[in-house]
Amino acid sequence: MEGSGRSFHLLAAPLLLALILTILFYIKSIKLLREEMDCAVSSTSRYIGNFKLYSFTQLLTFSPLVIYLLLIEYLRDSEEDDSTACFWTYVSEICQGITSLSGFANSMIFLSKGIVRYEERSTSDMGLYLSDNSV
Amino acid sequence: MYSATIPLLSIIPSSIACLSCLWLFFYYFKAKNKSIESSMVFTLGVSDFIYSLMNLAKQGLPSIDDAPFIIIQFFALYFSIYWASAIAFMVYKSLKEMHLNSRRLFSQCFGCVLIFSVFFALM
Repeated sequence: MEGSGRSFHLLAAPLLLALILTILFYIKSIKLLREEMDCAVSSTSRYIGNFKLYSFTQLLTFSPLVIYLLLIEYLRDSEEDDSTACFWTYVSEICQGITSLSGFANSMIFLSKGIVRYEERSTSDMGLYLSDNSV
Repeated sequence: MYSATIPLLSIIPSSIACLSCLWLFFYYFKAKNKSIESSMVFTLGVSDFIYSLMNLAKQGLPSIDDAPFIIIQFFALYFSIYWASAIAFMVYKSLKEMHLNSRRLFSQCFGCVLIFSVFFALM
């Protein structure tokens, strides 16, 4: 990140937009599920739980890097000493490390939970299909 | 104090991510019927794997700071977050529309994500 020579805001803006869109679509999916189906059905609440888990994972793994990229230009002093520069490198590496963990988190979650989506409404239970252990 | 722990901060999470992605690939290739969901997760896994691999290589190879490697790393980062967003969109669309052509939507989303990722990585 340090050696890219680009504006940090320019790097963060598309990431922030994608993160907001991800959360938004999962919230809309949950709303749709709640409107269309009886929440008392255990499978529906499980699907809602899965959506919450997907969005929480994205938020948890990408937001540190996005926040870092958004705030670094304000927090960083142009005349900082070596120890301060080292501290920000440390913070940058932590954020990149957490972002790397998204690969781990996504793999584990999708392997264990699968992806909830409509298959054929006529053939599946309530039109919802949960591909448990889909891969 | 920081300089000794800085490489570890990238190496440990990136190694864990690479291993879990390899595990995901193993399950994907082992599966006989590759569903659209598994292809979506596999694509996400590939981009996460490339990003983690680049993070890992940055610690070991001094030449990794060259422009092509940085572009690949940024491409993988953008692709990963956009594809996660595309998955959320596809899930929403599949819940909303009764007769959805999943394969077509997958291809369209893949094309869009690819174009946006290349654009922002090169910008």
